Parts: sequence; C-alpha cells; structure tokens
Amino acid sequence: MPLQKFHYRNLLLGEHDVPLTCIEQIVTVNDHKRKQKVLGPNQKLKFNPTELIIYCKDFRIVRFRFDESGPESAKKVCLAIAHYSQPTDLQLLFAFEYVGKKYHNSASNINGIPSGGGRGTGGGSVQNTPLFETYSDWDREMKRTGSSGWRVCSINEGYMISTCLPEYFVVPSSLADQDLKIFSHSFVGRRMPLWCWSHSNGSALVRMALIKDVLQQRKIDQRICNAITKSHPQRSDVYKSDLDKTLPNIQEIQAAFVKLKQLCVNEPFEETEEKWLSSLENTRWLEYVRAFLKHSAELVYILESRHLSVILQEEEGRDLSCIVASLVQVMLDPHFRTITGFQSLIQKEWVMAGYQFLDRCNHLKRSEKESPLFLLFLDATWQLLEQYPAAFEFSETYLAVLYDSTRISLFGTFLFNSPHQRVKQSTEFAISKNIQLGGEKGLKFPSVWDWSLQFTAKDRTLFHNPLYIGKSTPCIQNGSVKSFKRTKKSYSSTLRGMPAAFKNGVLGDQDLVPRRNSLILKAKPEPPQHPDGRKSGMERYLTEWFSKPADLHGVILPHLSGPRVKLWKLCYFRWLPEAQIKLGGFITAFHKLSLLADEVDVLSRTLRQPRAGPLEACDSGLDKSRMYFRASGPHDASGTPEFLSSSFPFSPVGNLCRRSISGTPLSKFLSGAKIWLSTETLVNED
Amino acid sequence: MWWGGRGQSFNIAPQKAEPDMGLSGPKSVQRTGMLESRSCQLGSHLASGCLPVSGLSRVQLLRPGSPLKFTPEEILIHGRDFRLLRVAFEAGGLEPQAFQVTMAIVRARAQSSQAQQYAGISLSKAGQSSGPRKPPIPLLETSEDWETERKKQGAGSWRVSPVNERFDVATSLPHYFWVPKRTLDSEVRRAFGHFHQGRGPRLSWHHPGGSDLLRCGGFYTASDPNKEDIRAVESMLQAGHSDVVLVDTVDELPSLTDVQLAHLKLRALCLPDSSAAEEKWLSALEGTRWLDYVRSCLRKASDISVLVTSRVRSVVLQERGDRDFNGLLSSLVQLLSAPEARTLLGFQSLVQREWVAAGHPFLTRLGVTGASEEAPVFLLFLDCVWQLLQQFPAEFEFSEFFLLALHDSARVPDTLTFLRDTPWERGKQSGQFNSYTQIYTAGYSQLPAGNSVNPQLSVWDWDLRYSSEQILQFHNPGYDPEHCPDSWLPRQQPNFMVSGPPSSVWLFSRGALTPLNQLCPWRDSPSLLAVSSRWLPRPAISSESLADQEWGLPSHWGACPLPPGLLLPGYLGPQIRLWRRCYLRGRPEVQKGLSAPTISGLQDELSHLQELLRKWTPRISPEDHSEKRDPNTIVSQSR
Repeated sequence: MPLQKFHYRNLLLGEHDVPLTCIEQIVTVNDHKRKQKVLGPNQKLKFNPTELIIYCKDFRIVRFRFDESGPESAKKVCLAIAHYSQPTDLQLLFAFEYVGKKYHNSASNINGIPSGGGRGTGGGSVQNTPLFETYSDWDREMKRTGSSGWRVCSINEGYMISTCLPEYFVVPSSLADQDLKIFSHSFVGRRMPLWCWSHSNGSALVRMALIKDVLQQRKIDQRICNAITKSHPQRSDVYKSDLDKTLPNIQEIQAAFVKLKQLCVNEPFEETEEKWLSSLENTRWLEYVRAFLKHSAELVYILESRHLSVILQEEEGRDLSCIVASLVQVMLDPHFRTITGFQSLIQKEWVMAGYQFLDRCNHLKRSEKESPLFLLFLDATWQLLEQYPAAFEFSETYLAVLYDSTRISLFGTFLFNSPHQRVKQSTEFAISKNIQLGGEKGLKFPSVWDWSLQFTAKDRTLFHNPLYIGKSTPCIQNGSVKSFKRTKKSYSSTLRGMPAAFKNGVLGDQDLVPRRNSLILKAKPEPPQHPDGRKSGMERYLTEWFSKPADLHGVILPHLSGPRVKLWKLCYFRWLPEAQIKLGGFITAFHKLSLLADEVDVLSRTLRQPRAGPLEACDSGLDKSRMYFRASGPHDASGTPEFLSSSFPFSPVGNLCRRSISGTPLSKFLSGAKIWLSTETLVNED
Repeated sequence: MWWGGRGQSFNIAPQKAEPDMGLSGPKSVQRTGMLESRSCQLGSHLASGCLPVSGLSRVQLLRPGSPLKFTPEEILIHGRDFRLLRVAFEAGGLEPQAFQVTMAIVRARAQSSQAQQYAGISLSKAGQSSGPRKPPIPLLETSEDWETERKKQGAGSWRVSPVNERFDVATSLPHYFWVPKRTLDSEVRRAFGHFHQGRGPRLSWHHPGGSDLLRCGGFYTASDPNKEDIRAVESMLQAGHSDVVLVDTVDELPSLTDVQLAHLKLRALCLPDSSAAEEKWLSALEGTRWLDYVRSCLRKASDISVLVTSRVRSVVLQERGDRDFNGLLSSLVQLLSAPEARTLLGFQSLVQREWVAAGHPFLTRLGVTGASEEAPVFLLFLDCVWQLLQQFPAEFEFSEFFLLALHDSARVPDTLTFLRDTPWERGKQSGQFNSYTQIYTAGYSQLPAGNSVNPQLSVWDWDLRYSSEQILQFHNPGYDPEHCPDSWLPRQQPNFMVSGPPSSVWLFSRGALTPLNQLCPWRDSPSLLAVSSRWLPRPAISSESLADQEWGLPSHWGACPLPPGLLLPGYLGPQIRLWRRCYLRGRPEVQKGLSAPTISGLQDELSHLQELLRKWTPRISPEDHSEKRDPNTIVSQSR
C-alpha cells in the first residue's frame, strides 16, 4: 500500500503510539453492559472493558478493542494506561527515566538515541540554535541586532535572584547590578525588565512583570523608563503596553480552544456544516488569534515608525508577553523567519523567559492553569506564513510537528516551568538515583531542536518551504544590521494599480476607508475623513505599508480582515478522515512547487560550477537538496503521487478503527462513517 | 479624469479597443498588474448602480431617468461583478465635463439595458476585419462537431440526431443532440413531446467505464401518451442499460430565487464598505448562504459521479426546465470524473455543450433583460469549479484567472455566447435585429454602424479581449502536462445492450437510492412490479444493506484507491471557501498579497536558469530541459 510506504514516521513513535503526555482522556466502554467510564488516576473499574478509547490532546482519537484478549488483562491494560498517563510527580515523566538510564549507561556507551541536550552534542539544527543558556548567546544576539546601550547581566547566576528568570539576561547598561538587585524585590516573581530585541533604529523591545510594591511603583517605574530611554540612541521615549488590559486572558484562550476542539473533533461535520462558520466564529479562537496579531502589529508600528522602545507589561510577564514578544520579532526581523532563528526565538522568549510549559501544557494533568498559549503563537505564525508564503524558511508541517513535540515527554525543552525547575528537579533526581553530575547544572535532557531524534534526514526536508528565497545570513557591519532594511528599489507601481501621483488630491489612498454608502443608499456619507485629521498615525502607517508590495526580507504585517484570518486546517484536521481530501489539498501544489524549487536549486548549483560537467553537478546536488519532493532529473514525469492528501504528511488512517454507523449509503461511502463520542456525554453517563 | 478603484486589484485597461459607449475620456492608463487587468465595459450590463458624489458630502443614487441634481466631483460605479469603480473628476482636470460624463454613463446604462439584449456591441474591430476565423473550440453548431465529440467520448451506441435541425422539436434545444442509436428520429419526436418544453432525454456524457449520463426535462404529465410513446420514452431513458437511476436534480439544491438572493447578499457583504465587523465576518458570510449552496451542488455532483463511476448504468438528470441545475450538475460530474474536462479546451467545450448549446437562459439568469427570473446559476457553477480548483490544485489545466475571465465575460456583450437565452435566438443573424436597436435608441447617439456582432466570434476567442500575456495566465502552472488524459481510461467495457425493460430502476433523492416501480409516471406505463401507483417506493431496505448490495466497495475511501480519474471533493463546513479573488476584488486590503510569489515565479526562474544552462552547456539536450515547463510551449502544445 502506498499509504504505508509514505507514512511520515516519527522515529520515536510507531503508527498508533501516543505519548503518555499527549493523552487527554481515557474512556473505557463495555458494549454488553452499555457502560462507559472516564478513567482518572487511582480509580477502580467495576466492569471488564470491551473497548478502550483514548482522546489525545492533538485531536486524535485512538480506539482499541479487546475482543481477543482476556477480560482481566483488558482491565489491567486500561488501568495501567490511566495510571501512567497521570503521574503524581514531575520526576516520574519518561524523560527522567530515559535520561537516568542514559547517564548510567554512558560509560558503557550503549548505542541508542544520541544524546541531545546541550550545544554541540546532538546533530542537526540543534548545533545552530542558540539556547540562551549562556552569556555568550545573549552577547551574540545583542551584536546581531546591533543594540547598544544594553549589557548582559549575570546577577541571576545560580538563580540567586529569581527562580523564573534565566541565569543571564540583558538589561539597560545604565542600571547597575546593585540597583537591579534592589528593584527586583518590587517586581512580581522578581522579574525585572528583560531585553528581547533591538530594532536597527535603536528602539528596544522589553518585557517585564508588574511592580507590586505600590509605594515604590512610580519611582521604580520612572527609573526603569529613564534607563531604557538612555539606552536608546535617540533618547526616545518609552511606550508601555499593558497586555493584561488589552488582550484576552489565559482562561478565555483556554475556553476558546476547548470549544474549537469540540467543534473539530466531537461534533459530526454533517450536522454542523450549515452552521460551521458561525460555530467557528463562536469559538472565538480566530478572534483571539487576530487580537494578538493586531496588537503585535501595533507595537511594530511603535518600534519601527515612531522609533520608541516598547515595554510589554504583564502581571507575571511570562504568558501573553511570550506570544506578543515573539510575534513582534517574527514580523520585524527576517532572521526569526528562518528555522534556526525561529527556534532561537522560542528558546529566548519562551523556554528561557520562563513560560510555564509544565502547567500550561498540563503534562501532569493536574493543573488548573492549562492554556494553549504556545499553540496560539504557532497559529498566529501560521497566519503570517499563509499570508507571506515566501517569507518563511519553514513550512506549516514544521509548525505542526513543533506543536506535536510539546507533547513528547522525552525532550527537556517543553517540560518545565522555568530553566531553574529543570536544574532543581534533575539535580534532586540525580541525587536520588546516584548519578554523578560532575560540573553540570542538572541533567542534560535531549533538546527538541535535535530533530534527528524524531525524523530521518529525508523527512526533515518537509520542514523546508519551497517558496522561501533564502538570503545570506544577516551581515553585521559596525554593529548595525543590514539585513532587514526595506529596500526601496523593489517598490514597483505595477502592483499598486494606480500611480502614486494621484495621492495629492482629495483622494489619497487613505481615503479608502470604509464609507457607508452601499448599493442601497440610505444615509449621507460620513463626513470626509482627512488623512491628517482623525486618523491615527498607526492607521496611516498600516495603510501606507499595505499599499506597497511587501519586502519579504523586511517587515511583514498581518492582514486582519475577516476573510484573511483563517483556520489552520492542517493542524486541526489532520487526524480526521472526513476532512481529508484525497489527492488534493494544498500539498499537491506544494508538491509541484517542491519539484520546481528543487530543479531551480539543482540548476543554479550546476551553473555555479561550470567546471564540473552538468550531470556530475546534478548528482552531487541531490544530497544537498532541501526539498522532500525532488525533481528526478530533467525527464521527471511524475504526476501527483497517490499518497498525497490534504492531511499529508500526517495520516488519519490510525483513526479508522472507528466502526461504521448507519447513514445514507452515499455519504457513508464517500466520507467514511463517524462515531465520535462526545466526551461531555460520556462524563455525564459515568 | 482618472480611473481607479478602491480595489486596486482591478484596473481599467481596455486591451484592444475602447468601449463604444459615447464615453470619450482619456483612457491612457497603463496596463498594470498583469494578472488582474481586463477590459472594462462601463455602463453596460456591468453597472448596477451609479453614485455621484459631490463635495464629499452629497451623494445621489442615479437610476436611468433620474436627474442629476449637482455637479459631481466623483462617481462611484457599483459593478454587478463585485467591482467598484471610482471616477474622480478633479484629478484628471475633467471637472467642467463632469456633469455630462456622468449623465452619459447613466444614459448609456439605461440604453444598454433595453437594447443590448438584442445586439451586443463588438469590442473588437480586429475580430470583425479579420474575416472568417476558425473557432477555438467546436461551437457545436454543426452535426460534424457533435459527431466528433461523440467519437471522442467513445459513445458507440449513440448517434447524432438531426431531428431538431429546424428547431421544431424545441427552440431551447440545439440543432443536434445525441440519442440512442436504435431510436428512430420519429420515436425521438414522439418521446420528446411528453417532456416539459420538449426537452426529452439526451446523452450528456458517456463514461468510458460504460455508464451514460443523460439529462432531460420533467415529464409532461398532462399529456396522454399511448403505449408506443411510453415505450419510446422508456427506451430513451434506459439507453440500453439494465440499471437506470433517475436523479431528482433540484432535490436538496437551492431554488433559483434562493440563488439570486444569496448572490445579492454576498455582493452586499463583499462591498468595500460592507458593515460586517471583522469578528462577525464568518457568521455574516454564513448568513448569505452562498457557500451553503455551493456545498449542496458539490455534494450532489460528487454523489452522482459515484453513481456514474461505480457501475454500468444509465444515470438520468431530471429537472423540470432542464436548463439550469441539470447543466450545472452534469458539468460538475464531468469535471470530477473526466480528466479531459479539466483541460482548458475540454472545459470550454464542456461549457459550450452543457450550457451554451443546451440552452441555459443566460440572458434571463444574469439579469440582463431585467426580467424577474434572474439567478446567477452559471456563476454558482463557476464558484463550484473554483472550489475544485482549490481542493485539487494540480488536476486542472486552467487557473483561477481563467475562471475569473469567464466570470467577467458572462456580462461582456461583445459576443453572443452568453447573450442569448436559446440556441435558436443565438442562431439568428444578429443583423436582423439592428433595426430594433435603432428604434429603442432613437434620439440618442447612435451605435456605430456595422455594430453587429460577428456571429463567428465567441467568448472563447480570448484574444479579442485579453493580451497574450494574460492568456498565458489562464494556464495553471501546477498542472502536469504529462498527466495524459488518455491514460486514465479504464478498459472499455463491452457494450452490451439490453433489450426489454430495465431490471432495476432507482430514484436518487436525499442522498439515497430508492427503488422505483416504473420509469414513467403515466398510467399506462408498464410497471416493474405490477404496482400501479407512481413513485411508490418499495418498503425501504435498510440503508446498510443497500450500501452493501449497491456498492460492494469498502466503506472508506481511506483504504482503497479512488477509481482512476475520479476526484471526490470535500464539502464539509470547513472545506468550502470563499472565492476571495473574485468576490473581494473591491477590497484592496484583502487582495494584497494574494499574488505573492507563486509557482509561476519559480517557473520563470527555472526557465531563465535553463536558458542560461543551455548557453553554458550545449551538450545537454536542451529540448528536454526547456520544453516541459516553459509556459510558452505549454500554450503552443495545448490542443
């Protein structure tokens, strides 16, 4: 079967394997007694199950039948899964067991999965991804962005100041360590201002927690702002953005996600199709994605056009600020739109900044704090990718795989609430297991960025976006970065539809704002909106930006209108056979693109090596190809491969262990049957 | 005077001629944005409203005959095709003439809506002067065309019937059509009389697997057919198959009024100044129900294509008028089942056959006549095709831009293709009607003499209105030319013709097959089970067992490969999308970025590199390298 042949394999997981941390709910069913029960930890099962249904966090549903096994063993299996999927302690997660074994075995050098973790150990892209665990990573990042007026600060070495900050971070040069130590007491979680990124115009992006000390509040706030102003080459002001007030909170986001899941997984499409769009709207998920994109775009305007430094302020400064800080940087800096850059961004703004992966992902299934903020960020990134397909080095497959990786409890990257927690927990663990740590700070867990642990080199090429036109890495000249300047020359009026000269009259481009005179003329139009009048600089900036063709190696801004913010179908539908389009979907275009891009690559390589014969050059090029689908030479005659479907490279075949139910013969025949059990009803029947 | 729109994606760029509308503004706007530019006809069928604006505070909606109360600074022209044109007078220095220009447009529109149903205006001087030219696709006006097409489809047991050569069977039917080989013309005539408006069963498409797809109008129940009539009707429906499925076409599909209403709502929603808020956009879109209707059409077409593919049988599409949804379904089924129909030429022939020749009342449905039966069924069809294009981007030779061009051509009055309701009207010499035109337009600037449309020209003569660069854009670069349309053909099944009544007759309705007792509704018709009441279904077989018996195929496509060549579209809620490039072209913010570097950019790069490579290394066989993906060669090799 071609389907199996091209199954996208995760080296760590078999086709029907589900990581324990990916399990959302376990339901046991007894057909004969018509009983169902949701299994929690330490629960008893009063009947012998005939079927086990596992609801996964990635929208998959896996069903196992116990028709051929003894009744007692079925019960044991169910209880065991329920038990192990809900560990009572962080150290009981698989990663600890694995790392413990690895340390024990390292002397005898047993072959197995290569150790990832720290820099330089694993293969693949982990070598290039700065983890921001060291002083030098931060230093390099400052140099890369050309920031001046900032310095790497090491007062938190050994997590002496704060347990939720990294050991090294960047602060305004004018603030001395001594001051910082004093100030830190006033901040929630002692999370003082952290530098994220600097624009080439000198404006900086900074994130910090609230100042809880009411008495000191104004004074400290003033000092911080002054310091940030001093770090700006033009001594520009500081713009403060209170994220808690402007954006949906984490509970709302979680609620939206639960509704989205309900909509995508539990409700049969056949029944909701007429109401699909409004149901989707009612989840508010897309609305929230839009809200984050919109807010980030506004901050881009502040940084880029008004030359102001921006402070992201949030109570703890480790949730919404992760999303906003990352999105702003993805929009502003093309470096973060490469694979390595994107990974470093996640290290910098999520892992090191103390995003609470453990609680937010709810690996231990006991957290009240679950919220899919990281997914929201990936979704928002996907929107940008969808709108600017040639601006990103990675593909949507990469984003989906990255999301899945948060649920594999092998990697240390997405397992902890903070870097400190990793060190603390793993040191404890090492002591209890008699592991000699030597000089290391805690155990080295495999890093998720070591993709070779999960995928073969061939499969990893699916991460590459064929449309991306790479640019040589940003060159640093005299401390200023040249890479993300908008190039004026690429401006061409051919795309604009109308010569710019017409802007001088009454009808500038700005006048294209909605005016209320539809076909049915019912009211006089609103008073004229003069560009300089009521319109804010922000709107003007956006209008002007959108009137030009985007420089894909410069700033990109999201389109936010209703039709432009879309549902990330690959991510949410890939396990649903009903939603699959055989031999269709974007992937078939992607396939063609890859073939073309590959041919372009091969040919340009060939041309660059005029000495070598063209055919030899082609051969040597095959290994370097960045495409999954390759042009098999000039005579390539492949049509659309049969295994392609809209959910490629993921295969919903695994979900087909659902029984068919009665339906009209055609719809059954065409789209497969559907027997999703709503988890809610199950709970009620318990 | 300058021309421009809020939607910068559309541009007024007359390619080869200017609109002859008595309008004479400078039209020297550079052709911009290769993809979207197309010629524009002001004031004709396109305009649905015209709003002069003065001082940015006075607005008046102008309808034919209404006086303009002030000198406008700007006029807005709302197009029926979702475009919105803004014409500002000040910037172009045309202020003094503003009043006249506006009135001219309004008058031209009024005049056009009355007159142009009888005579299109020819945009193309080139077309007229160049004498007779060969149509780019067979226009199906001669029996040779029909015969060629019949052979191409391998419909061995069918023949071309000339029975309607004089339009005396039905004026809405073409001169020729296909009937079963064994049916005599006299029987055809006899049978057709018992169908609504004389539109009896005709072959639409012969599936290479052996099935036949037929279409016909509703039974004319008031007639009183004798036994021989009934036998003729039945044998034509049966078409030699032992298994007949009657498809109730309109079942589960929207009514014409629904379609029209949805289209109006969609147009209002997509206006640049639509009031729908961002976060309410989705429910507003849902509220138009347009996507819902697209979905029903796709679902039904998908079901029918399975009926045609899965067994050898006669599948008959039956719609009372046989001129709207029958054409839509039949075309969609062919697109889904036949790779040939997904080529540029194949698709154009398909539209010519199932819409133009089959007598879809374009003029009425597109609202050109102002008649009440306006319903853009054809545009609904184009939307369905676009959905397929989205879902299967590598399976179609034509691109979204081709569909857009076709969408816009539906209202451009330079050929007769879409300007007549029936083949009979189209067949008449357009010259005859010039006198009418002049009566209606007396007192107003005369249309230039010799304005008659060259009947030889059709919409398919794209070069009349589009530059060769634009025509290049009609090709989908993602389509694989190696995808040989012949290779998919299953082995031709032996053409066993059954004599005697069909052994099983089904009605396809509500997504399920119901056994029927007899084919025809009339009292005398022989019933299969000696039950006389019509449409009485047998006690329902459970759908499960019906499925097993009927399909004998696995219940999931996931496990088995699709029959070769068959596409099964997704039609669930999330799979039906809005054709943004078409409906949102008045909204620049939506259009921006839609033409980001795509596959064609890569292709250009590729051909450039190949060119370079050829210069460098004459050793490597250059033909092989260049022929395949160079867009120019793709064009020239397309048959």
